[in-house]
Amino acid sequence: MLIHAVVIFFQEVFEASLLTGLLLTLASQQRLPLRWLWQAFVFGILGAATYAGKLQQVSAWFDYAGQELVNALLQTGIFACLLLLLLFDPSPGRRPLLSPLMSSALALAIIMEGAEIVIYLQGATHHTEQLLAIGSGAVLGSAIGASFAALIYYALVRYPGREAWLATRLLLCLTAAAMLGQASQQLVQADWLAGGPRVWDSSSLVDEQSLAGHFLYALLGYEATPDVAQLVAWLAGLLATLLVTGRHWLAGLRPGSIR
Amino acid sequence: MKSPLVLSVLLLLYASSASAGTPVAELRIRNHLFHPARLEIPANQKVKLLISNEDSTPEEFESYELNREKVIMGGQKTVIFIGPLAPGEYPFFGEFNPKTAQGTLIAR
Repeated sequence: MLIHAVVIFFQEVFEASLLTGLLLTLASQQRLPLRWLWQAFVFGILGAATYAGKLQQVSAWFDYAGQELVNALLQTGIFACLLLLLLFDPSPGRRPLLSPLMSSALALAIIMEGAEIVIYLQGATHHTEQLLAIGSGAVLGSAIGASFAALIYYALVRYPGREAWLATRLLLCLTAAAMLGQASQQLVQADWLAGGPRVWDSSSLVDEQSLAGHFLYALLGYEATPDVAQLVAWLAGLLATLLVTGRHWLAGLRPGSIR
Repeated sequence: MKSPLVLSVLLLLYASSASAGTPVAELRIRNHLFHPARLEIPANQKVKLLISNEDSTPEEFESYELNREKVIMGGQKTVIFIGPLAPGEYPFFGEFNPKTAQGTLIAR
């Protein structure tokens, strides 16, 4: 029960943790205060508890497609926030928008991952004799998951300069693409979108269930057996964010010099 | 042991495909176990999977091979669309009770 709780908390926290690390890095590079982080946690946790409480109702909407629809909206919302963030990032005139966008992106991610944790706890804590094991597992799993935020942050922030600046933005592009890819899978699951055939099977190269697989899933939405819809959504997301990010770099402008 | 399972699945598919184009297959969650643990579905077509959680606690249907993941609250049922799948075996599990809630979809 302890190991199981560790795994569940680790997986959910880990996914939000990579995004947190990247946003922390961006905030540090842009010299923004951390208010956005606390706001994201407050709204995210409240939102997660609300969503979890309403999940039974929501799941029944649209002939049992409600859960997928809400998840797809959350993921598309994160994508939109990251796209706008990358668009406004180099413009001093748009600076006031950066913190709200980062806060919103993270809050939405916390709502998604947090709701699953709340629901897991609702069921698991029925076994009152396991509360200590679950509690310990929760703390341990969350700590391990959250440590990756620190890992990314210190890896990128330690090397200030163009390379780190670019690496941060490229990783955010990948995260955004992953969100759009996942949103497409939610819609395919609900039969609101045709998935199409499997494009490849790379499970022999990187197994989704391995640590590397989980890491790549959280970082860029890796799937060993993606279908056409997911690949198209992922590529579209990556293209859109790369264009927005690359536009400024291609123009040879330095960050902060755009009016 | 397999014949009654196959027969009941075929009957279910026949009954539901008469009204809608998409075949329907059913899974039940009882005592943190999937019933049936091995479920046959037609290959190369979209299938509507109806999952009933007869436990009082939530479960999360998950499968890496199928790219499907969905929470089902206690006492609730839900729908997941899968396929078209190439013939083969596709494992799934209950993320909240992975030791016991395990099953395989067999696309044939």
